[in-house]
Amino acid sequence: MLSTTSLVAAPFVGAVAAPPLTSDALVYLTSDDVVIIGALIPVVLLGALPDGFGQRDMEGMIRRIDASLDRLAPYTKAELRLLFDLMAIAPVRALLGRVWSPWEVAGKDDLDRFLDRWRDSSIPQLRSAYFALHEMITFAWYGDPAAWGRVGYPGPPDVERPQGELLT
Amino acid sequence: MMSRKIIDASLLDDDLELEADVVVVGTGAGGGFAAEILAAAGLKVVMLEEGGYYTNQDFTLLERDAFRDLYQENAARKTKDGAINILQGKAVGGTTVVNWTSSFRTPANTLAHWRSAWGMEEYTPSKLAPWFQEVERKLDIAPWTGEPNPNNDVVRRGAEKLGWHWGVMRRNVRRCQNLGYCGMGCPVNAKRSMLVTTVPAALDIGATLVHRVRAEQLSHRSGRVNSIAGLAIDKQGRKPTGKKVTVKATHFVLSAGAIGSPALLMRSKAPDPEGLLGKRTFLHPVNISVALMPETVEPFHGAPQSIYSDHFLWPGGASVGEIGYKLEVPPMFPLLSAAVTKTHGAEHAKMMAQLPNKHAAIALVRDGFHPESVGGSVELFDDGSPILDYQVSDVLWDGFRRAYLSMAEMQFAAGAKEVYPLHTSAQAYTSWRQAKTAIKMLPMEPFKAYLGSAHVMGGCPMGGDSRMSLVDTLGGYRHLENLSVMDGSVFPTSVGANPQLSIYCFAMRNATALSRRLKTKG
Repeated sequence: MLSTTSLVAAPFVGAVAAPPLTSDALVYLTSDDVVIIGALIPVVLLGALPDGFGQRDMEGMIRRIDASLDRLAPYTKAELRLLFDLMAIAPVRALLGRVWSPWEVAGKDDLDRFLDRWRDSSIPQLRSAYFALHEMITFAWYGDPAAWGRVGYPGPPDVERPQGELLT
Repeated sequence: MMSRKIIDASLLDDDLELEADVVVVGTGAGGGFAAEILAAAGLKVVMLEEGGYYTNQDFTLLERDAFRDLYQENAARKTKDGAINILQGKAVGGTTVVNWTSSFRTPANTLAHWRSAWGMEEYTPSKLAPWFQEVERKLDIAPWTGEPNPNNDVVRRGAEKLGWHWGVMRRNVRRCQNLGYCGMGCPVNAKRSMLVTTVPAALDIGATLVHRVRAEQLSHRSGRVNSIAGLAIDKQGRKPTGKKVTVKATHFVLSAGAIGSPALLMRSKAPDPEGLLGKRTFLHPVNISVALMPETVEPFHGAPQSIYSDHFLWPGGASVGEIGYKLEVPPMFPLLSAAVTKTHGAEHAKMMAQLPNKHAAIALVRDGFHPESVGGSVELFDDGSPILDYQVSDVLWDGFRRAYLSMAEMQFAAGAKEVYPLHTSAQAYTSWRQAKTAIKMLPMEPFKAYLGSAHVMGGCPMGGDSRMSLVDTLGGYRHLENLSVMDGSVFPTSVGANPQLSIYCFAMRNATALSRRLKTKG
C-alpha cells in the first residue's frame, strides 16, 4: 500500500503533476522516516527555503537525503536506523521530544522547540540525534544551487580544463 | 609510453585473478609513492583502489558531487559515537585529490619524540632531508607566493597584531590559478596530487591499476602473506557487484589509510601479539571559530590555506606532552558551512546569509603526545566494516577551550565585528572581553563543541621496540615477513602538522629500501 501512497504530507500539496514519492523509490529511508524528515525540513530551513518551494522540491530533497545516508558506514546506518525507529514510536516522540501530535501534523513552533530541546539537552544521545538530523537536512539543501542566492555564493567558476587522461 | 593497464572492477563480468611481484593497496599519499618507486625498480606492481577513477574532466566543483564521488561516506564519515566528523578521500589518488595542498615537513619536535619515545632512531631531520627534498621537487612544493585570500589574511593580521608567530604555507601546486576548489578536485590539474603524478608515472612504467575494488582479506600462513582478496564495487561506489578480485604476490604493501589498513589487517586476523592493531589512532581533532568581518571575505575564493600560526603548537617547549594546536583556516562553501553551524530556522538562515563576510579559523589539536591522549581504536562492525571509536579526553577538552580563546582573540585583533565559536552553547560575541568570559564557561562536551578531522593517523605504529610497535623503522610488518605498511597509520602519534608531506617522505624512503631488498632477492 505504501508504494502507491505519497509519503510527503499536506503542507506541500500543490505540485499535482509531480509523481508521488513512494517508499520503494528509496534505498534507506522508510515511510515513517520520511514523515519525520518531511516535518522537520521546513522548520530547520525556515527562512532559507524560497517561497515557491513545493512538493516536488521536497521530494527531491528527500531523495538526496536517502542517497546520502545510504553511503554512510554500516555501523552509522544501523545507529541512525535505531534513532528513526525510536522517533516513530508515539510515546517516545511525546516523552523525549515533547511533541504531542503526530509528526506530520505537529505545529512548526512545537517542532522548533523540539529541535532546541534536543540540541540543548543534557543527554548526549539526544544532542547527537540533533546533530544527525541537522546534518542530513542542511547537506541536502545547501548542496543545491537553488540555495546559493540567499547566501551570496556565486557558484563555481567556468574554467578551461586541460585535456589529457592522466598526467605525470 | 606503453598503453596503460587500468581495470574498472565495477565492469567485471567474471572474477579476476592477477599475479604480481608487489600489490599496493590504496593509491593515496602512501600508495602512490610506493607504487611508482617499486615499479621503477622493475617490479611488477598491481595497485588496488576502492574509489573510482575521476579526472579533472569529471570534477564539477559542486560540493555535493565531490562529496558523493571523492570522499569516504559522502564526507559525513563519523567516529563511533558520531561526535567527530572525518573528511577523508576515496578515489584514485586518495585524499590527495581533495586535500587543501598544505605541505609541512614533519616537525623537528615530533621527530625528536618519535626517536626518544618510540625508538625511531634514523628519523632525524638531517637524514630525512634528502627524501623531503626529492618529494618537494617532484610535487612542486614551494611557499605560496600569491597574496593570501582574505580568509587566510585574518590569521596573518591577527597574529601580527598580537605578536604571535605566523607563516606562509608551502603548497604542492604547479601554475595554480588560485581558484579555491582544492577540496572538490582540481579542475586545472594544478594540484600535484597522486592522481596526476605518481599513479600515472607507475602506470607508464608498467604497473596495473584496478579501481572500484575493496580489499577484503589477506590470506597468510606461517608468517607469510600469499594473496589478497577483494570485492568489486558497483559504478556508484555503493555495493559489491558479486565479482571477486584476487592477487597473488611476493610482497604486499598496505596504503589504505589509518582506518582502512588496520581494518584490513584485523579482518585478516593478522598476528598482533601485543594487541596494538588499530589502537592509538589519532585525528588532529579540530574545533572551529567563525568571525563576521567588516570587509568582504568570500571564504570560498582563492587558495584555501596559505597562512598558519604555530604560536600555540608547542606550549611546553621541548616538553612535547603539553597539548598544543596549530591554527589554520578552512575554506567555507555553502554545504559544509551550513552543516557545521548547529542551529536551525531563522537564526541559521541569518548566519548563512552572512557567508560572504565570514571567516573561519580552525585549531588542529596535536593528539597522542600527552600521556592521557591515547587516541581512538578501529573496530570492526558485524559485517567487517570499520568504525573508529574515539573518546575526547579531558586534556583535549582543555586544549579545545584554549583554542576557542586563541581563535577569538586573533579574530578580534584582526578586526572581527562578531566571533561565533561553533559550539551550541555559544553565541555571537561582539568583543574579545565578552568572548573571553563566555568561552571560559562553555561546557566542553561532545555534541556541544562541533569537532572535525581531516587527518587520520596511527593504528599500526612504527618503532624500534617490538613490544610497542607493529612495523619496524622501514615499515615492515613485524609478524608477517612479506608485508609492509606505507601510509599515515605508521605514525606513533599525530604528526603535529598536516600529514601529507610526512606520508610522502616515509613512503618514498621505505619503498626505496624495499625495492632494493626485493631486487636483491629476485
